[in-house]
Amino acid sequence: MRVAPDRLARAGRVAVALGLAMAWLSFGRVLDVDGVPFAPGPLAALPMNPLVASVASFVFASTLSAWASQRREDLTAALLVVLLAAGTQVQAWQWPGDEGANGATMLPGAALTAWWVARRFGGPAAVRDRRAVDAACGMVAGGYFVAAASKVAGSGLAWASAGNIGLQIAAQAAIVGGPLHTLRAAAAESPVFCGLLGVATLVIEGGAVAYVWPPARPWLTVAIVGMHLGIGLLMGLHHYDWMFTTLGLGLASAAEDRR
Amino acid sequence: MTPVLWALAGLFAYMAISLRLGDAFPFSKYSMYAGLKGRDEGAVLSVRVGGVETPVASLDRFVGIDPAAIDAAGRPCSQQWVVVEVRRWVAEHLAAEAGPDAVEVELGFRHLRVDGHVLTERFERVAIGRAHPRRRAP
Repeated sequence: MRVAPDRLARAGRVAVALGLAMAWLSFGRVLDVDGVPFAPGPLAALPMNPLVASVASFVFASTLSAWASQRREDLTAALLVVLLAAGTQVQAWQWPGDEGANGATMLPGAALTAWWVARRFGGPAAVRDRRAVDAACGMVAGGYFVAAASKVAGSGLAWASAGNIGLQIAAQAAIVGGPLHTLRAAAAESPVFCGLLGVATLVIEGGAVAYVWPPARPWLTVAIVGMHLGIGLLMGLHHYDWMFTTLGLGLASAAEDRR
Repeated sequence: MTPVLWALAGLFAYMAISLRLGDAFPFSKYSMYAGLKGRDEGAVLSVRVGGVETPVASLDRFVGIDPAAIDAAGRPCSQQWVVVEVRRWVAEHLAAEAGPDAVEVELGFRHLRVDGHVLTERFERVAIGRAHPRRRAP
């Protein structure tokens, strides 16, 4: 049964909204620290406490709900980007040096920014939505490709070696118990499995550059979702903000293909 | 063709800006997992009470522990943000004296190695002192 474009588009919008919500939730640790002690100069006096966080979260949730419902989309998208930027900066100002960089917000924020820019400057109304989705997909391609390039630039292809991946999984096995520990420990002790995981990660992230091409998006969306689920299960790294953003844009792109 | 052009514009914009600016929302080089080559061992921070792994946030009023000793530098640890968080928690919850309910707390690193398909580990202590279990507000 073929799904109607409008349903696909709505599902895509909801998935992207989930990604944005999870990006916002990644700021949860902001509440562990009072204020912004590492902000420069007079900015260090800015308040940051549960009250401020609650108000900001209410505004974010309300704005996100409006955007997901396609109400005043351009305004709400811009406000969401501003809120994510502010939250990212507050979190950075709570850490010494650059240790507080939060990658969770980057891809959802970049995709929404590109979406907004394309809708504002993308020409006639009849094609703006298509172009907005494509521009956002370009950001997805860029985000994953840069992540893969950083790994190769930092470690060469040795990043994907069985020993390296096995160590990462072993470290995550050490901090959990029960069946999850058993699963991760078994994975860490299999050089073939770890080698395949490492290669698959680089291939999927590097290959995501093909997300610029609409026919490749369904396959890459499935691969990227699977990669994130695997990383969450084996390595305890939960980047569902990125995963839902990619899933949502994959659905939105499919909707545009069918219109 | 036009959909590909708009997507390519997004791709090149992301690559150019992230490589030029580094970590500047919403762009990043995502270098946190990049420098992991050449390791044959991994280190995970460990907080123990009575030899049992304990969440650091379940303890406060640390006595006799130097937060500066909680440091991943020189160790093959890819979870630096966890180390910084624990160090900050301890630094913000120090006490001068231990109370009657204090327990002995040990901080260190579990060094993990995969040797011939077998996972082995050794513990490296970096600090030992006393702390108090946190009580939930009524």
